[in-house]
Amino acid sequence: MKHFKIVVVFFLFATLAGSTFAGEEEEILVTIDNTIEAFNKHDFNAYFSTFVDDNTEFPYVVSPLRYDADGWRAFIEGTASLAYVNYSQQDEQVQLYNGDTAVITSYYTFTWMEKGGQMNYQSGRASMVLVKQGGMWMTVHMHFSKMF
Amino acid sequence: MKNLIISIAVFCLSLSWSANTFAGDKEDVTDVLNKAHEAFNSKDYQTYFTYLADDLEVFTGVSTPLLHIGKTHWMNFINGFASISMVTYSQQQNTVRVYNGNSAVVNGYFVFTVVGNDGNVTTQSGRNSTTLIKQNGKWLVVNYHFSPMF
Repeated sequence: MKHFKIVVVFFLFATLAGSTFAGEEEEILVTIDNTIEAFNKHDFNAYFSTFVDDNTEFPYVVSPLRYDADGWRAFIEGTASLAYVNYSQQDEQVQLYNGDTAVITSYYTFTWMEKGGQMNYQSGRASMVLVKQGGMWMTVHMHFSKMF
Repeated sequence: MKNLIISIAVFCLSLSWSANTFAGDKEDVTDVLNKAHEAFNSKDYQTYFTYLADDLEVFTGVSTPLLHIGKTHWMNFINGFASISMVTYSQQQNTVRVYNGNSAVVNGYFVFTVVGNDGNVTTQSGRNSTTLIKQNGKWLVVNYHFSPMF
């Protein structure tokens, strides 16, 4: 009977732990979805609210060089001059560590239309690193690269 | 007055200790990456693999654009270099950032050189992002993203 109780406690703990990780993963994906939605709507305040102050990025447009936080802000705010932008990603894989760090890999498509009406399209690979700070998931790094 | 002096001293010691801890982490991360690159370049793949987490994921700039999922998959790919005359990887202009004391993000630019058995040399340069996690006191690579310059 005593052993039965231990087994029950173990299963309860395992279920709870599983739910916690599932919850974290959902939170991370919601954060990313909200960030992408903010970008697509040109809502830059909402977009940057989920970035740490010292974020860095390797984009796959304009320049191959690393962007620091100021450079990335200038780049993203520069997209306001475009008539339309649409970024989406799929096949997201979430690696969660220590409950406060996550790496998300995916494949993306990025479509943008210039004010003259010219459409551009790009597809590629994306990696994002998020950390939990003050109870919120924040982006510390993104790397975008082409398919080949 | 005595209490104030003690409080300030404890505060300063605490700040100093915390700064040293982060400085130490950055050095540890850099050291791990240097050793991993050294092991890879000397074809000591068994040592190289000890720096990788079991659930490693990798986007490479060669072979396939698709994600390598798991350490075993990556090990099979790396072991394929054993038959090639010389393979070297170097990385520079690294930025190292440590978060929560247990995760690190390293960004830099790499040069990857392969000397084939026929003597042909091919070189690729690009961008790299490496994510490491501290597990049981040891820094392990959990993710690489390599991409060419454009």
